[in-house]
Amino acid sequence: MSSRKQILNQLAHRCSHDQALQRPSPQLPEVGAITEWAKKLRTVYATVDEITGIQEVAESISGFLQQWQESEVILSPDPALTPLVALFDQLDIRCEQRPANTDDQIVMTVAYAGIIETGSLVLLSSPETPAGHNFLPECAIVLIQEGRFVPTLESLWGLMEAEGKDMPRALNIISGPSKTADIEQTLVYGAHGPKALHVLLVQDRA
Amino acid sequence: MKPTRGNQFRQAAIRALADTNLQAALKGAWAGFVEKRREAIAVFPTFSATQDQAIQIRNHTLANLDHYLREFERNTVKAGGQVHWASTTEEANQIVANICKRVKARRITKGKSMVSEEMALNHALIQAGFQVRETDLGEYIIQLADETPSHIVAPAMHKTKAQVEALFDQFHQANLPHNRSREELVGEARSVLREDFIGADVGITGANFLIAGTGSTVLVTNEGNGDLTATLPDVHIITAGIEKVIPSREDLPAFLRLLARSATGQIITAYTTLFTGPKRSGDVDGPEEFHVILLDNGRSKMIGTSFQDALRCIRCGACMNHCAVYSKIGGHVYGSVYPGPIGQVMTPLLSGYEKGEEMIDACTLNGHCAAVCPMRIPLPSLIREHRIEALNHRPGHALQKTGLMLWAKLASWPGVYRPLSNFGVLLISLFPAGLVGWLDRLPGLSRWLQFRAMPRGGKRTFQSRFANRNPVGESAEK
Repeated sequence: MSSRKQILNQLAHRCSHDQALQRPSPQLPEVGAITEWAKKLRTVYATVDEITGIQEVAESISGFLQQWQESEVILSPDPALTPLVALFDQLDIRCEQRPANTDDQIVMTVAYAGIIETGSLVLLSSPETPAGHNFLPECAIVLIQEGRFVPTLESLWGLMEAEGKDMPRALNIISGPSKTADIEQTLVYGAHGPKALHVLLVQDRA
Repeated sequence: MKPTRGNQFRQAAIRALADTNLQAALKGAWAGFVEKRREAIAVFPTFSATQDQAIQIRNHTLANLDHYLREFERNTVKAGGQVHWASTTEEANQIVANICKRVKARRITKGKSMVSEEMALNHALIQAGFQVRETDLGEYIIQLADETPSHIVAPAMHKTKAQVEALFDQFHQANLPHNRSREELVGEARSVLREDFIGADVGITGANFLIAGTGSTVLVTNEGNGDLTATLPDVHIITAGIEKVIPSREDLPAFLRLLARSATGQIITAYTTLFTGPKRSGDVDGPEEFHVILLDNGRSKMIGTSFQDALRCIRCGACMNHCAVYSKIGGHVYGSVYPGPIGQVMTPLLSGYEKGEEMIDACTLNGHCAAVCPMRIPLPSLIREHRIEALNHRPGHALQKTGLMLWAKLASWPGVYRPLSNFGVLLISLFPAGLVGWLDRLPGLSRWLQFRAMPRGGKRTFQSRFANRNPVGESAEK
């Protein structure tokens, strides 16, 4: 008998099968505004810049590059970022829009949504937004629109259903830069994923 | 590491108590885990209600586990993945080795997986001629040290920074200056392991949860190594116990709210990822093959018994963090993959009663573990059940069994027990200090008295003081 059959037989015999499927209502915590989300991210040493216009995007990126003494940013193939290529060229910020490779230091992507409860960004893998972009570079820059926030993780599922988004290959919930406390229980940032997470919170036009 | 038996456990514990490095590490861990958890829960008023929710979901799932495992399999296959079932760890290892052989794997990376430790997977793969690299920093450290994890969340918590530096010096051969900071050590591991991530053909991770409704596996990490292990190689293998499945993604948030807070005092970890199947058409990264290995290894036999509750465990480590015994001896003394209270419950069920009998005695039944368990597993009751079971299995020790039986009879006779214990207390209070010291050296009792002292002080038993207490609970007399 295959192990599969063995295990399922054992369970069919032993499981009580007595509880009706009654999903308990979710115990949702109280959730504040987007400022609370930004605060949570800053607590774990992500940086958040509030952006009101495309010019400020360039300023934020330029400042970030200077801070990390880097000169180039790679933009993921997401069409939302395409307008930035021309802008960055004008401002002499070196950039390329393509899938990132393992040598790229600074990579920029766009988040699908933000979860206020946990101070998180949600990114869905796709040909334009490869999951590797969130983990390979030294520094990750993520752009998120103000209108893309949901209060809780439960409401993320609601958003995906409403927008007809199936489960992607990788659904990443990212709540800060990479870290570890494996040496003497002391927190150190930049384990294997990005050392720095820089977020551009783009405010909706009035 | 084989579970230690009899004298071995005791000797290992005595060594652990004398190990100043370990004691310092355990003290630090207490501050790290216990305080942070308390702070995180204090600012989260819905914690208890979330526990109710998660427990209800888990109980329902366990009562219908076959149904949900089938659903998980269906949806994983629908998404292009493959599901393998293993009754034993040997079988699970064989399945992994066969996949690696078929794809001619040269380099294998691993994210942290306690189930893979249960399988002793690394050993099996090395035997089969493969090279395996642990990428979780704690697991990497103990891999270099050729040790097993001493904690289920922080595998290298027993190591000091100096010990880690020495290991890195030995294996990295990079001739770096001494007394590097923790940041420098982490940076060093980062650059060394990056090559492994990029060059790997097979990536093996665990799963914190399996979602039946979508055929997804959930990975909760802080380092990002799990995601690099899952996304870069052509083959992703996931090892998971059958109890990890939850019905739907709607159920996931409740567990996430409990897990990070209970384990490390975080609201959420840096990375929580849901993987659903292999690369999609057009994807530039992701695995070509997605395999989930469902391991039984004794779990299905726990269903329908009083031990079923232990399958609610979400592997947060809170029980061992708060355990009076673990926090003094550390994880290695237990000699099992799962140490501490959950280890004491799981090990006899996964590996049998012959192994680690002494482990189940290493518990004071104080109940702190049950109080902090987010899934309200009645750990002390289950440990006691093991003790009863083990007593039936234990050969010999007739004297101990008779002694216990007599004591049990006496203790159920309050009319006799009370005056006897009153007399005993009076007698002890009359002993001069020197005589009590002599008692400590009586033959036959030396093992018992090595870490215990004869009680002193007070002329009344607890029972009589309790009976005479004031209504507010204060004792009528000192």
